[in-house]
Amino acid sequence: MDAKTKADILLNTMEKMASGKLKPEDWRAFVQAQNDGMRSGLEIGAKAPDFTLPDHNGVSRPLAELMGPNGALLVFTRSAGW
Amino acid sequence: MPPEHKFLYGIPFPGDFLVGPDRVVRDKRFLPDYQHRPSASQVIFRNFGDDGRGNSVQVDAGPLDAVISLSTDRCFFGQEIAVSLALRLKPGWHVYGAPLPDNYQPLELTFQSPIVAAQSLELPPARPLLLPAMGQTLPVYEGEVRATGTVGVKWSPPPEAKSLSSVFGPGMEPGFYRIKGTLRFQACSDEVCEMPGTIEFELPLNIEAGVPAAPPEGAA
Repeated sequence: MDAKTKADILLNTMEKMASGKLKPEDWRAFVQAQNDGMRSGLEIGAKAPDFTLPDHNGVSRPLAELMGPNGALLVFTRSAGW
Repeated sequence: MPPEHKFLYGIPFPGDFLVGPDRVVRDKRFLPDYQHRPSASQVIFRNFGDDGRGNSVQVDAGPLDAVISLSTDRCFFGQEIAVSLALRLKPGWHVYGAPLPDNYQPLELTFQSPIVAAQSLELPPARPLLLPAMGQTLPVYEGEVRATGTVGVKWSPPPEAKSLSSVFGPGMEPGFYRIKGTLRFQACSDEVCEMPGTIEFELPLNIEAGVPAAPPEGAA
């Protein structure tokens, strides 16, 4: 899906949400546009880079610091509430 | 895109990586459906086993007893939680696995609740057993049976997404729910074969209200 098509779908969704006229088919198109090009990163067996990212308190945490003796479980949540 | 409409800037995909001490990815799971996602308890259960924090119920039916547990006692709408079944049979007894002829009842664990959207249970392979009296070889479980699965709680639009009510309806109320479950089986021994049995039970689950979004970075 090209960038213009995706932007048009997103803007259409935004306008219909604002006017209360959003229909199920609009929402499905929106989700499909969001899912387009989905990638989930490293595959099983690949080696993770030694990245550093901010934690939930904004403190920078290198992966090595999160590692326990058996490794680490990295969880990516969509949101805490919904 | 106007910056005030950050709601439309993307739907992150929930997922997790299990990384070994050598930084090699041992396991991963990402869900393409934004409405359903694993709970923290389910991620922990899947990777490390039951930590005993969820509610459980013990049932007893003569030749067998079983403990059915959830991985947590609370979650949000749209989350997936883990369920485990630990079934123990008295010596000399068995229950049936699948597939079976129509007149037998395989071991089944199901949940019936308005808030359950999906469910699964992965039973271990059953052992083929020749039943000389009937001249049939059927899959059976004997001794102890342990199975795990998932219960997907229905998704409900959050209060801050009122504009989605035209698509999804008014949504459901968070609060305390009792999830009804059913364990079905048919227990037999070398001497007697009982009629198919059904045990109904309930497991409490608290559906929590959504939490407010974190303030934007740099906000006072």
